[in-house]
Amino acid sequence: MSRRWLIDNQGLFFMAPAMILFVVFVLYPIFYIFNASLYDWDGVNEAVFIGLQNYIEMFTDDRSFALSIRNSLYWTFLTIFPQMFLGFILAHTLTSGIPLQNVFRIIFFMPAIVSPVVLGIIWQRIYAPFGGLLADVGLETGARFLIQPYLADPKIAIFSTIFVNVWQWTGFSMLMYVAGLQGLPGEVLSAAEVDGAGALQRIVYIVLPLLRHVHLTLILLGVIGALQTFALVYMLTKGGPNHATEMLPTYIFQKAFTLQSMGYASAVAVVLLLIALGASIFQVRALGSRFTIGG
Amino acid sequence: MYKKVFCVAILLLILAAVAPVFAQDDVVVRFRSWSPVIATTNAMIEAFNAENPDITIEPDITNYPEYLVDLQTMAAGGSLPDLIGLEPGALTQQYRDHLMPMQNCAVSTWGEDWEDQFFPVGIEQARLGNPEGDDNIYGLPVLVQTINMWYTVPVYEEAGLEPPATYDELKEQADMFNAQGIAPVMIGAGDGWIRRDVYMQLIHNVAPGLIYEAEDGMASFTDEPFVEAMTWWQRLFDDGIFQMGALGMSHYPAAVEQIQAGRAAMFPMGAWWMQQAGNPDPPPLDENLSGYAPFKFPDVTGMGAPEDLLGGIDVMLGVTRDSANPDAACKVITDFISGAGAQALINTYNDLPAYIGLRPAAFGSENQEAVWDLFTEDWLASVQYARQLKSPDVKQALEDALAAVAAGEMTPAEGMQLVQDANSM
Amino acid sequence: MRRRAAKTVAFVFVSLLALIWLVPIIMMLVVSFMPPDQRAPRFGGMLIKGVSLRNYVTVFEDAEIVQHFINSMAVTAPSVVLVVLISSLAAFALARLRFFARDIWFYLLIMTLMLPIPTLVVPIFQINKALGLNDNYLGLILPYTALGVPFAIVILRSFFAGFLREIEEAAILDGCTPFGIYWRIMMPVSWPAVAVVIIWQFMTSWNEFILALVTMNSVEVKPLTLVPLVYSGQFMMRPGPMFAILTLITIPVIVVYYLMQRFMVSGLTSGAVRG
Repeated sequence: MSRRWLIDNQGLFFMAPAMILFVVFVLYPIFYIFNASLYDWDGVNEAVFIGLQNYIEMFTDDRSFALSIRNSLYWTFLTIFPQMFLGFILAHTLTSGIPLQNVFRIIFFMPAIVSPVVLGIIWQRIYAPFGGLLADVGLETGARFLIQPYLADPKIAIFSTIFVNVWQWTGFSMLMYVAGLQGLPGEVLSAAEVDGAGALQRIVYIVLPLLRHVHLTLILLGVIGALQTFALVYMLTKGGPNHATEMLPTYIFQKAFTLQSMGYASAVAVVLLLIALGASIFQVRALGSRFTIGG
Repeated sequence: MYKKVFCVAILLLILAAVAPVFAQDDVVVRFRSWSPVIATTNAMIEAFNAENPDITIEPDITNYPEYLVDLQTMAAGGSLPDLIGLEPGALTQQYRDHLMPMQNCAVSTWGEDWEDQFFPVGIEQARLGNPEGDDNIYGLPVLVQTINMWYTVPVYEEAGLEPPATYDELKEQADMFNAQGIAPVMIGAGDGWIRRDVYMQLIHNVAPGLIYEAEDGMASFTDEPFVEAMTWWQRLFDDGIFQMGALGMSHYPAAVEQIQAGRAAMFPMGAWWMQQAGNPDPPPLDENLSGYAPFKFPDVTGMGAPEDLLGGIDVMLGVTRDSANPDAACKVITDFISGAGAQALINTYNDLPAYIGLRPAAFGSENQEAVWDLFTEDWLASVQYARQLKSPDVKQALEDALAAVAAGEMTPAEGMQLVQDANSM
Repeated sequence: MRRRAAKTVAFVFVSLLALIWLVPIIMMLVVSFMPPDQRAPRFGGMLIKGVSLRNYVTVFEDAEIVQHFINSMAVTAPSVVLVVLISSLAAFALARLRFFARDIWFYLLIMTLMLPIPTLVVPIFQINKALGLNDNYLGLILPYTALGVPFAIVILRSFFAGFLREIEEAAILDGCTPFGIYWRIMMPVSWPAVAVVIIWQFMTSWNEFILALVTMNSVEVKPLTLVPLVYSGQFMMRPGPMFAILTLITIPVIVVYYLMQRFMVSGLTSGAVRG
């Protein structure tokens, strides 16, 4: 390696810390879970090589795994689009010059910064069908439809959980749209107004397309969020009832640390990893590298 | 601006690297468990240190599910503490290779006939799940318990009723309490352990002892009695015996809060419920345990329920093989079981002592004393069968099946098939 | 006129929605002030009789809440600083310098943008074990940094890429090294983007749960997020102290956000202008 080469490549020195961390805490772990997924291993005692057995079981005979895949899909779509929609409406309203709009922005954003552990404990009290907030409001006002086994019925528990997530992250979408709207060139909007475009038309045909980068960023972060989800589900339902709210991360955790099947957990982790990589590649192809804030 | 921030940060980084360094002067025994709670543990340590000032105990008490995670990671990391809290069966077996046999410690403290000084169920269950030929005891029992039902005394006084003894009575009372907005049987069935506890009592009613045979492969979980018990479980939901939405609630803390507020007529729990009286700032019902009384699970089948209750060890303590001070650890354990530490523990009514003859220093009410005597003199002596199951897989499958059946996603027969599949694996 | 009417309607609508939005937070506060011998079994605890500060006293007496706060700080602050340093260096190189396999490195890094932490829990635990970092702040600082770097690089790189070539060339003529350009020219004007990185990294590190759960085994090193679990055995039956803990955990993030929020919007805005 000549001196000349080093000078031409001095960018490598700038990259070095990031590269080292990347190799130790990302590349090596990825290699590690691929390897561990081929073993029957409880994390404490000797591991036994079993080839693809974990994967075969996972794809042929594992209802919890199938449910967690289904739930991840639900989670992705039912979080991202409602919160983009609501977030945009809020952002639009809160950039129109109504009183206290900065205060409102802080209020709507607040849940996004609160720990999901905290939110899980609070929402349990809101959802409780006996003595919970919604149920008792329903009981006292006669709005009996509010009395539901929100977290107890396997058919609705996942949606109740997703609802909390939407509530938590809508403020974040709002903030991104506020930033986006404030960055729009004013002439575009006033020109449209002179042309006599109605408010709705203006939004649909001019504003929304101009905010393309914000939409894409929110989709990206939404997918990451859906694949990462752990704490909220762990606190609200522990993945139950009967695995109805199981997500891949909660399933990995349960397998690895409560049922002591580190090998199987690694196999599930490999699947999650492949899904995440697939989503990344899709994003990169669709958006190029300029896909987030300020791209 | 940047410079300042970075200086502070680098300082923090250095601090972070050196922070967890602990002072070690005399003999230190590190103790980890989920039970007893930290306030009680501290009281026990204080009592122990009054007599043994040369041994320092470092306690670390966490909630049960997270304790299991910590234990697992510490075992994998080779950093287990000296003393760990254990449950009989699956949990102890999992860590057996990391634990020292405790017989020598027991003999040197209590003499050759030490086993006679414990409630028999404690000694028996300490060996639960040991492989053939391994008679070692890997953990010494500290607290024992029964599982049973409790009722809220003022609620029953107001209704002018006695707790139910049969299913028909249970159903009749449930209809009445439901109409009053009181939960007939308050259960946080979102927690797997309480689902299992209730099922264990149901199957014990239908066919005493059969489930342990099925565990050993001498019966099948798909046999008729198991399905029948599962059907009773389903009926408890369908007939409105359990409060609405029970499956989405945790037993601790959600159900407990309702119980303490007097909104439950009955609830499944165990002897450990007595500890309510020892908590700080007790609500009125908890005070001196004045608001609650235990009763046996109703005879749902109507064929006559067995007299004995399920139960066994609540918590036992083991010494790890890596312990640097096994002698000091033995001293601590035995003190927590029968010495000053044990007395401090029992004074909080935490649960029933495994060591015969201990008694709280004081009772706050007659009811409390009567409950204590009922448990120690009558019910505990009759315990034959364990509340726990041996295999973690069967345990998980049973808890899953109970949830699935309660949610209407499986029939009782399908649910038991799930358990049988887990057992034959 | 119509415009004002529309604004009034919008204001009323937003106010109502904001009120509903805040219910969970209000509930947290209400229950935390409940007198300790009371239970609030109805309306999720929104109706309490009397107000008491006892729960907070109990928490400070019985729980090492200050220690947990320090733990959270000792994990979060270094990870934030490291992410800013490491990712800005890398982002500068990726945006401004040529070097061997630059594009490959960049694509590798963005691939891991989507990497869910739970996939890596098991191996990171093993790495920490090998390095003796379990139960050590560094056992969280390093992985949080590693996992936070890709997102920060993406944000900073596009910010750096937007700089005019001419300024850089002028600096080179003045004898500035690449490091000088990075440190003296680019970084000082990159506050908006750096602020976004800081807030994001702070939030994710402060609230991260699963890795903390398996890495920090001793109570004295556990960060605040784990505190509800640590003490649930002790306090869970007493909703008052439990909710006082929840409130105390939440206050720091709200304060940090409040202090940084003007940077957040301006950072996002200045980025969006470039978009």
